[in-house]
Amino acid sequence: MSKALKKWFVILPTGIALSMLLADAVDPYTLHLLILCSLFSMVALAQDVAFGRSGQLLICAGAFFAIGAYTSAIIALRIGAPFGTCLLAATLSASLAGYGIGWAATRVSGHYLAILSIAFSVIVHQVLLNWSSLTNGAQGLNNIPRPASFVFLDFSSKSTFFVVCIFALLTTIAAIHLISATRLGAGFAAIREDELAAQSLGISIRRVKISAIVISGAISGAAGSLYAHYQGLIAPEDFTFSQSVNSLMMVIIGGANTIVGPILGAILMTLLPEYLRAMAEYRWVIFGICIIVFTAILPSGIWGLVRLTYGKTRDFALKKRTAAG
Amino acid sequence: MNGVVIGSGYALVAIGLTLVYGVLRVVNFSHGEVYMFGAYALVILMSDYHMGYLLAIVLVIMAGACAGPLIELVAVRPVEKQPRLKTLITTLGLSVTLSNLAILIFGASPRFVQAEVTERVLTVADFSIPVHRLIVVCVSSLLVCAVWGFVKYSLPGKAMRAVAENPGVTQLLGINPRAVVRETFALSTALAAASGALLSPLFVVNPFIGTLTGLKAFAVVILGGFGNVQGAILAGILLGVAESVATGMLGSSYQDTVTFSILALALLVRPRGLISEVQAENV
Repeated sequence: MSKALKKWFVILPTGIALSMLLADAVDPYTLHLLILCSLFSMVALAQDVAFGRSGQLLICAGAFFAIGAYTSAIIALRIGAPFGTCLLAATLSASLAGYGIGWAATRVSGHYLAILSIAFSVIVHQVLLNWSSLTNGAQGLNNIPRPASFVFLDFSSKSTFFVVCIFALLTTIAAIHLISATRLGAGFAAIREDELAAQSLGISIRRVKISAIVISGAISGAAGSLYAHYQGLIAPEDFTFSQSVNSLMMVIIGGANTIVGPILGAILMTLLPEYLRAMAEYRWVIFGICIIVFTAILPSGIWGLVRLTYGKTRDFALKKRTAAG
Repeated sequence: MNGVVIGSGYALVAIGLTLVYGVLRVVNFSHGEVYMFGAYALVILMSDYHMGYLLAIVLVIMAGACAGPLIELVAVRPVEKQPRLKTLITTLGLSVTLSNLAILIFGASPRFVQAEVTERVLTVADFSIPVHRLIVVCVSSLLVCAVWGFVKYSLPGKAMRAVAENPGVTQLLGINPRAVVRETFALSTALAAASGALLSPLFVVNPFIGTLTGLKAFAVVILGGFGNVQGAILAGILLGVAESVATGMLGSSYQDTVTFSILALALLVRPRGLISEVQAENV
């Protein structure tokens, strides 16, 4: 067992213990926000696997999220499957969708891929809205059950569900962290920096691209499943094209190609409008401007700025990008 | 008939997009928002200031021409040294800002154009033709011809095509590529605003129409081939007709599904457009 993997066997239980303490310490409203933060962090991390790590500009994280949420909810409501099965099915169906987009990414790239992914987002939303026999149309699905008890733990309360979310988030982080150290992770960076050079080094662009997008889809799908079972009610309006734009914004504002960056972005974009009520009305106007400012002046995001200011980073790619911006 | 009317509106929006892409290799995502503001401007000029339809359209087109260089300054210039794909992100940000600004300014409730011109009907023999639809088709074909002639024969138009071909050599010939880019943006957004003004009496006007129309314009641009003006005209009308046929057959709720399925298919099967003559770099 590698050293990196061993480390996670310490971090995971510690994180879970801490989240249990935190869940008891805060009020229900804060807990609700924390759960949303952890779920959107997963989506942002998923978006980052495709966008930040592999350089594929996809704007369809919201669609993967929706596919996960609806798969999970439909299986739970129609068959009455337990939560674990739903989560697995959601992850699988979203990764299947990811495979489709990944296949498309091997055929078109750049602007074309971005627009294709947007078309995919819009189509998914339209299907959710119109396929009423399966998705119940605009009213959405409700009464999605919270996960029942598992061994000795009871997941039906909000505070235990928070622990599940943190567990899922930490697993995601561990997976991304471990993958980044493998050949595949190096392949992500290679196709991001220069596809032609990567190809000349014998990296299968096809395999790397599809893997990146499948992983991205799987993570978003799992987050979608958790979201559906947490909210108990999902409707197509939760999964519009702007949801996909949101996750891209989280990555750009937080800082692409890092672990902390997307999480920071997700937390900022979820909490700021809640705590600054005056800002709530103007938030999209402000976030839109932020995208332009960050892309033009600070392409490495808030976390990139923090890393450059405090601490010696060995990330030359980050320095190069910041210097270029 | 309805499809042709809407399609000629799409073609106008799409020509603007395709011109900008041709000259700068940049996808302007906030293009649809110009359409939306054009539609609002017309509603306000006609309903609140009781202006004539044609006069209002001319004013909207002039305002639209001013919007282009502003978009270029805000969203394109700051990232001109970075990879072209960054412009897609910045203009997407601008699009989010503009559509939400419209919600703040105009409110989310839809508005309508209430004017005599939208109700007048011309009866020739046994056919009754709504005058407004006739105006839409006439004005948009006039604009399309004017733009086509401008790009093909006038000196600034030739400069645009030269920059599209090779910006470096154009600069050597004493043409300022920046000025050409500014002009292209002005022309492009003038067309989008014109389209918004022309079509607004046909639809409800709300802050969300911009994004959807912008995306449909992308479908048209891709069908026609990026940077290909004739292709955009043809594909615009084709998409308008396809949409109304699909609405007739499947009901209006599937209209957008059809549009975006066409877009996705076109990208995968014929990414160079229906008429492939422009060599695409991203394929």
